[in-house]
Amino acid sequence: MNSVGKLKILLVEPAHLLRRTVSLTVHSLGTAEVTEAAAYATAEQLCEGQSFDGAVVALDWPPEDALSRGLSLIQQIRAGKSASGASIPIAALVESCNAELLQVLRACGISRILIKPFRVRDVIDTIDSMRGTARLQ
Amino acid sequence: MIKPALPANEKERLALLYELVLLDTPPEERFDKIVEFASNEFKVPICLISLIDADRQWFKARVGIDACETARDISFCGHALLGNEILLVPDALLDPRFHDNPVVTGPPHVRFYAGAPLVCEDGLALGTLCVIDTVPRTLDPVELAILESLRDLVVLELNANRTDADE
Repeated sequence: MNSVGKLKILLVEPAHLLRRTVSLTVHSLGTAEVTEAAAYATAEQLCEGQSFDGAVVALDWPPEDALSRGLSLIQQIRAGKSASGASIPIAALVESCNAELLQVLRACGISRILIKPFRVRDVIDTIDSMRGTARLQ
Repeated sequence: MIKPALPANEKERLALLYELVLLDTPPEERFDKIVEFASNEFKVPICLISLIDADRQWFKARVGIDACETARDISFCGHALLGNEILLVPDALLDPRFHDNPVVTGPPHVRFYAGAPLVCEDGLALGTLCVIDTVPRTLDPVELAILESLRDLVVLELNANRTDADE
């Protein structure tokens, strides 16, 4: 957490309106400090340089190429290859979820899965729910 | 019904509205996306970006109604324009300003209204982003904050018009 005790959250979401609305609202509520990434490359760079208390990551699933970059970002964090703790709470935002993806996400220790269509309110509640888990880190 | 009063800065407000060249222009995706998003977020049948002209309110973006404008005298948004905070009307039938308003007693039968004024940098309110339902309801503090955020995104888009006009 930062010096004033706010959760530091990484939000990786390409959809502009959703990402900005979550970020602006959380900022105005004063419950967390959200760092936005519209692209996975930006998120990877942020993860190398900054420590986060939690992350909300939109997954490119099924992946366009052989590898899901969102999933790789999560696996990188879990492997301790980021400036954040390996066990920080991570929520996944997905278009849909089948048994295969569920198994993969469980293996990654995902704390919450939000399946579209979800609301900004759901993402904000998810970030709020990370507070307890983050304090235990 | 109580007609909305005119804000003290009405002349400057209208001058800015005309300068931005928004009235009577075709729909734009950047605004349409916001009203569709807000309508889904708040699960309301009607959502509008309403711009208040001298004697009418004109909808730059709309979900849930066919009309592209109504008289200012009967507009909820004309009232919302008078403050900086969201105007929240949980049940229009219980509110002396609106209980006998024709859009309450007749189609589209407005009962719930929440309108966030579109206040530009110099304090001039051009209209509102509003969500409307046909049943009484309210918004909790988190929902109010979400509506304010969406309003801020509309204002950013309006200011982009201003920058374009300046160039």
